[in-house]
Amino acid sequence: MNAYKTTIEYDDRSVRHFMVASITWGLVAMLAGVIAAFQLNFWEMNGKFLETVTFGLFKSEGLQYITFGRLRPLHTNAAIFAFVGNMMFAGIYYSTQRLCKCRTASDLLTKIHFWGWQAIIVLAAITLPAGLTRGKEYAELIWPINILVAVIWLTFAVNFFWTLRKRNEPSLYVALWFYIATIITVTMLYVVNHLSIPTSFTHSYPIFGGVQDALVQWWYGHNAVAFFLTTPILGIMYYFIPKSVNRPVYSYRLSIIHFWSLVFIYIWAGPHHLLNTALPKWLQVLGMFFSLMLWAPSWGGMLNGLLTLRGAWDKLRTDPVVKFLAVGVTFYGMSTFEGPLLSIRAINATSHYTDWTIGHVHSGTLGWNGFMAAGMFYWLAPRLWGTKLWSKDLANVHFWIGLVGILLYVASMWVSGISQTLMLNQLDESGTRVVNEFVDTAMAPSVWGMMLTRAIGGTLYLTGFILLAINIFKTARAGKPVNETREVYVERPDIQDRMSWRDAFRNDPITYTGWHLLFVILWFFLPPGADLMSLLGAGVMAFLAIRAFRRNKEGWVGWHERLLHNYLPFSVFVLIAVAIGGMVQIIPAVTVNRAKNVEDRLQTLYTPLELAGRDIYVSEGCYNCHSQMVRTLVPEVLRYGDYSRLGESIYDHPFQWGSKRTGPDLAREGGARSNDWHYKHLMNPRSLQGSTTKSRMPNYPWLAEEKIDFKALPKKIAVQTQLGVPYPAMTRDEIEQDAREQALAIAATLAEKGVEIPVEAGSPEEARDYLAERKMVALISYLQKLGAYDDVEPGSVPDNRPSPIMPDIPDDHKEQLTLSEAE
Amino acid sequence: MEVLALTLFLSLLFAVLFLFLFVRERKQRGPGGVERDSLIPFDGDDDFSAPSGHQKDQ
Repeated sequence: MNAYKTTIEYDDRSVRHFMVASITWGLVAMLAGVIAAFQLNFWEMNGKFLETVTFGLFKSEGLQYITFGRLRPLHTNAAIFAFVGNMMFAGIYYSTQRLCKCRTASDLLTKIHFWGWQAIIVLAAITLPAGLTRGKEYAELIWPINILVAVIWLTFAVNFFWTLRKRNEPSLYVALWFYIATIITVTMLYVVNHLSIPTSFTHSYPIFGGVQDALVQWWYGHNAVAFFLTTPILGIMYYFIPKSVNRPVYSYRLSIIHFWSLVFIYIWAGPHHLLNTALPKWLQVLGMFFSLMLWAPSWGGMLNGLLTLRGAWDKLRTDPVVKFLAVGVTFYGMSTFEGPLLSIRAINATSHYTDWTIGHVHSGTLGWNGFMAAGMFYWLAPRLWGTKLWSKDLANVHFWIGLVGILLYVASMWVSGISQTLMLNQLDESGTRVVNEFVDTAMAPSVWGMMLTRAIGGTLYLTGFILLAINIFKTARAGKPVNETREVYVERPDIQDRMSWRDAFRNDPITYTGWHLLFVILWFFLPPGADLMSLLGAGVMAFLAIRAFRRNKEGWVGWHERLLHNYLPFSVFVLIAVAIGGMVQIIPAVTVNRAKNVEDRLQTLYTPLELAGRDIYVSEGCYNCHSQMVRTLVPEVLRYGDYSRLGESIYDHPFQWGSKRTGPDLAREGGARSNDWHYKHLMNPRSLQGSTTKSRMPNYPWLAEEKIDFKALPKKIAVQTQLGVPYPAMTRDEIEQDAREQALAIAATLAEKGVEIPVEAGSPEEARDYLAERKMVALISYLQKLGAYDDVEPGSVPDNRPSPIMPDIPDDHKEQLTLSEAE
Repeated sequence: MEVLALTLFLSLLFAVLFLFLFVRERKQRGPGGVERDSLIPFDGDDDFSAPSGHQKDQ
C-alpha cells in the first residue's frame, strides 16, 4: 500500500456559480408559482391585472404568455430543473471533490455543464410561455432542447465518473452512491420519456400513446421526484448534516439498506399516479404496493439524518444551518409518509385530481428541497467567500417566515382538497344524481378561501427566500471568493477499482437476490396456481439467503465493501436495480398490440382539423386544469358519464388524462354543448349564463385572431401514421382540403349565431370566412370530438392494426400504394 | 371490529419486531468495519473529534 500527502485546490468557483444560479432561478420559480397560485383565485391575474398596474396603458383581456396553462409548466420546470437542479449541482461538486480527495476531473467540462444548463433554462423560459410544449408534465420542453439536456447531462456524467476514476479515497462514501443513482436513473428516465418524432423544429409527437404514454410518463414523472428531487438531496443530506453538526452519520449500515431498498423500490411506484383510471388493475395494485413499501426505506433515511444530530440538538437553538437541515429532513419524513398514504387506492379516490396532491408535492419541494437548499447555502456561503454569514438573525427570520409559509400552504391544501372531493361526491336523496356543479365547489369558501391561504403561504415562502438572497449577496460582498486548498492524506490500496466482473457478479448475495427477484416477478405474471408456487419459491430463496448470510457473514460484507471500492460494478448494479421495475411494468404494456387491448371501445380517429385543435389544446396547457379520464368511481360516472376505457385514448399522442382538476373533466365533453357556447366560453367564460359566471378560467381572445397552420397538417398526420394511428391514405391536398371544409362548417354555425369577432365583418359570410381560418375553430372541433368512440367486441379488432412503435407504411408509400391499387 | 383487531395486532407485531431488531442492532454495534466509512467527510478536518464508539480513519 502506498501512502502519501498531497495538496489539492478544489474548484469552488463552479460551486459558487451553481449556488448563485440556484438562488436566482429559485426566485423566478417561486414568483411564477405565487402568480399562478393567485390566478386560481382571481382570473384577472392571467393578464387583465396588467391594465390596473399600468394605469390602463396596457390593454388586455388576457395575456397568452402568462395564462395558468403556460405559467404552471414554467413554474414546475424552473423549480425542479433550475432551482433544485443548480442547487444539486452545487452540492454535488462541493462534496464529491472532498469525498474523492481530488479536484473535479475537468474544469472545461464543468464550465460546459454550468453554461449549458443555464442556456437550457433560458430556452425553457422562452419556449414555455410561447406555448411550445410536448404536453407531458415536467417533460414539456421541445425536442431540440431535450437533445441539449441530454448532451449537457452526459457532460456532467462524464465529469463526475471521471472524478471518481481519479479519486484519492478508496471507498465511495454514501453520498456518492446517491449521486451515482441520480445520474444513471435520470438518464434512463429522460431518454425513454422523451422519445418523440418531430413534425417541425418546435413540435413533435411522443412515440407512446394513450395508456402506454400514461404509464411511461408517470414512470418518469414519479421518478423525477425520486431521482432528481430526492436521491441527490439525500446525498447532500449524508454529507452536509454530518459536516454541520460535526459528527458522523448515525448508522452507516442503515445507509446501505436505505440506499439499495430506496433505489430498487422507488422505480416501481409510478402507477400510483393513475389509480382508479383505465390503467390495467395489476399495474395499479403493483404501484400501490411498492409505494407502501417505500415507507420503510424513506423513514430509514429520515431517521438516519435526524439521529445524526444526536448529542448536537442544542445547535437547533443557535445555528440556522442546523435548523434548516433538521426541518428539511423532517419534511422529507412527512412527505414520504403522506406519499404512500395517498397511494392507497381508496384514499387516492379522494385525493387525486385535487389540491391535496398539490399540497403533498409542495411539502416535498418547499419543505424538503427548499429547506435543505437553504441550510446548505447558509453553510457554504461563509466557506466559499471566506467570511462569516452576514446576518444570522436574518437567516432565523427566513427560517420562521418560510416555515409558517409552508405550513399554511400544506394545511390549506389538505382542507381544500378533501372539502372539494366531499362536495363533488355529494348526492341527492335519490342517490343517483350529484348535487353540486364543479365550479360551485371550486368557489366554495372552504376551497376558494383555502386556495387564497395557499397563495399567501407561498408569498411568505418567497419572502423568506428573498431574505436568503440578500443574506448570501451581503456575505459575498463582505468576503472574497475562496478556493479551498487542503493537504490530504492519500491511501492507494491495491484493491481500488480492481474488482473483476466475475467477482462482482458470481457470489452468494447476487445469486440469492437474483433468484428471489425472479420468483417474485413470476408471481406477478404466472396463472393461478403457478403464481403461488413462485411466491413459495421466493420465500424459500429468502430463507436460503438468510442461512447463507449467517454462515458466511464476512463473505457477504466483504463483497459489498469491495463494491464500494469499485465504482463501475457498483454503478452497473445501480442500473440493474433501477431498470428492473421499469422493465416489468412498461415492457408488457408497450409490446402488447394496442388495438387488441381496448376493452369494448375504440377511439374514433381525429380528423385533420381536430388534430390541429388538439395540438392547440396541448399548446395552451389545458391539461394543467382539465383531465380527460372518468375514473371508475360512482360519483364520477354520475357527474361526467360512463367511465373511460383504455381504447378511448389509445391513439392520443400525448395522452391527456391530466393530474389535477382545477376545472371539470372533459373526457365526455364532445357534443354536450353547442359550437357558439364553446366560442363564447373561450372568449370569456364569465360572459355566459349559469354557473360559469364564477369561472376562474382565463379568456383566450387570441385564439379568435391567430390562424390555423393548415400547411403543417400533412406532416403531422404522416408522423401519427408512423406511430401506429391507422389513418387512411390521404394526399397532402386531401388533408388540407378536409381540414378547411370542416373549419368552414363550424365557422358557419358560429357566424349564424352572430358571435362577436375581433374584426368588422360586413356579412355573416365574411364572418364565417374569417373564423374558418382561426385557431378557435380548430379547438372547438377537438372539444366536440372528445369522447367519440366506436363500439367493438373485445378481441374482435383486426390483428393488422399496427403495434405501438412499429412504423406503419409511410405516407409517401401509401400514396403510391393507393395509386397502384387504383390502376 | 375484526379489522380493527387485525390492524392492532399487525401494528403491534411490527412495533415489537422493530424494537427487537433495534435493540439487537445497538448491542452488536462496535467500532470499525463499515461504520468507519462514515468518517470520510471529516478526513483532514482539524476541529473534528470522533464521538465515543467511532475511531478516526487515519
